[in-house]
Amino acid sequence: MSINDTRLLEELTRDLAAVDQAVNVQPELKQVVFTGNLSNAGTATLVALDALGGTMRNVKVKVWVSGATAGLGITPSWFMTSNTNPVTFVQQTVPNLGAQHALAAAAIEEYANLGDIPEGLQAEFRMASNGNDSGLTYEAYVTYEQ
Amino acid sequence: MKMPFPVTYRELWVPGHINGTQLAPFKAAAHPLTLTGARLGTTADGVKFIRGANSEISLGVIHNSQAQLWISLRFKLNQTFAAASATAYLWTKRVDADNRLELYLDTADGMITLQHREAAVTLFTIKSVAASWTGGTWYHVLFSISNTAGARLIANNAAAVTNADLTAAPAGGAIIVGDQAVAGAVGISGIITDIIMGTDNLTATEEDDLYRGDPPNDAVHVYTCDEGRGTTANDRGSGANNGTLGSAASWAFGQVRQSVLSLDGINDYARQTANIQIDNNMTLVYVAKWKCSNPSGLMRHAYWRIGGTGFNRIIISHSGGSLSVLVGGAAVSGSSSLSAPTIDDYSILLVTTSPTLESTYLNGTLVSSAAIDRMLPNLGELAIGDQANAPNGEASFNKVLMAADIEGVFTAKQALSYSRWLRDIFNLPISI
Repeated sequence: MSINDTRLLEELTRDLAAVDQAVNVQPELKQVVFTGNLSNAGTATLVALDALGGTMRNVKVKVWVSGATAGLGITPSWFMTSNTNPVTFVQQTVPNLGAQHALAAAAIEEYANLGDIPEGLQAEFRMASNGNDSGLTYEAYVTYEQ
Repeated sequence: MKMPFPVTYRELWVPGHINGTQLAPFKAAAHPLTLTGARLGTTADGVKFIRGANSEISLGVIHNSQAQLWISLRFKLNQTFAAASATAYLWTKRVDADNRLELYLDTADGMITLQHREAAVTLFTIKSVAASWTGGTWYHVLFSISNTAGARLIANNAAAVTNADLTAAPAGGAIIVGDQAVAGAVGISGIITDIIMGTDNLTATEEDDLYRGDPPNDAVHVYTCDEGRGTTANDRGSGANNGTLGSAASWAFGQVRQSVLSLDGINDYARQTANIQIDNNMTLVYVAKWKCSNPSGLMRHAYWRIGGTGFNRIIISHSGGSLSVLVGGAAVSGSSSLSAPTIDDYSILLVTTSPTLESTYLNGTLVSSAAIDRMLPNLGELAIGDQANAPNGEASFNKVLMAADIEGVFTAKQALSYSRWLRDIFNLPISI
């Protein structure tokens, strides 16, 4: 091996890079913003997520509504597909998702601990309202680790 | 996976956040894309058939007695087919053995064969010149019948084989892809994708462009076969005739399993009409699975535009048979011609804009630079899949994995490092 032969150095560099990557593989926190209109006396899908490329962990949703009027009752819900039925969304039981309740004006609702969306599945966060929300907009801030 | 260096995104879109007609952006203060026709898809290569019962796509009983009908599709076999291999059906419209229009690989000679029988009379049998089909290789086939132009068969863009017969399609029977019938079990063992059908006479340019992955804008049925889930093959064309996968047909994925922004090559796009910051200090990112290869017509894959007088735009497009990146300032534009990807290639395109220069990186390598001048200082608009200011059917057929606008001009080393990171994030089969 001559002094100009860099094969061993290149091999070692590639090994180090591989080790570095393996050591530093860690999930990153991501934030996505969905916007739109509520559905007057109906159910709107506020958030839609597809975890085909990898599990989305610790999904959290925070929703801001532009101006809830008195009497507006909302019911949040969390739906997910399954491996056995990859195109049908089934409602999930989430302990801290409240039942129908009224919003104060320009309210922020925070829904923590929606859990993980396993790789390959899709999920939707929906909100039903009982009326008086025509023209109201929402912003849904979603964070997850991937 | 940790980013190789800090990056400030102005805009960042990945298709896993499509909600109806909105592609939501990462982070607040960024802007969503509004989807017109474009939708969530996957990097699935197509539909996989196993030459068994219920391994087909049924398109239903359509186009009975159709005077003009053309079909374009791509297929890849699991194993090499030649003479003496068992006959394998690719596409049929069949009432019964005596009334059928069928495309199949023939055991007698290994050739792709198009045959039409009506009332127990064989009207024509036309065959490809090629008599062997290598397993694991993609092929394109285009075939048609017409009451004015006769029958045509073009296998992998070879010279057309023709017959003067003017008979219309059978008066009944479902159209089946991948087999002869629903329970036929005489279909192919392999993958079929990009099934496109129309009801007119194709021009020579349209025939060539179908081979190159550019459907004509008047195509009636476009099955992109990229759903990746479920049993429906959506029809993206004007026909709106969805197909149903049999229980033994499934979605074929290769190395890459990701969500995509799926475009139909006819009139789909994703667009933001305002507030996109475009200037001479940015790096644009476009990551896609390419579904075309040097078509003759215009295909706008990504289009950033400020408007006003002058150029003030960045365009990634196919035009006149080549792929280029055009970057224009107020008066001076620079254009980079790229070595075009082939169909089903993945690529990572980075375009940087400085006050005097645009640079284009393909898969981490600088491929071209050109002089430009300053863009007008203004907010602009963006379209993925068509022209930004007025979408007009110069439509892309690509599967887009990511688009982004990044603050600052990447150096060559940053472009290389970032491209490698994207390759690893998406698990792309790209050598960088």
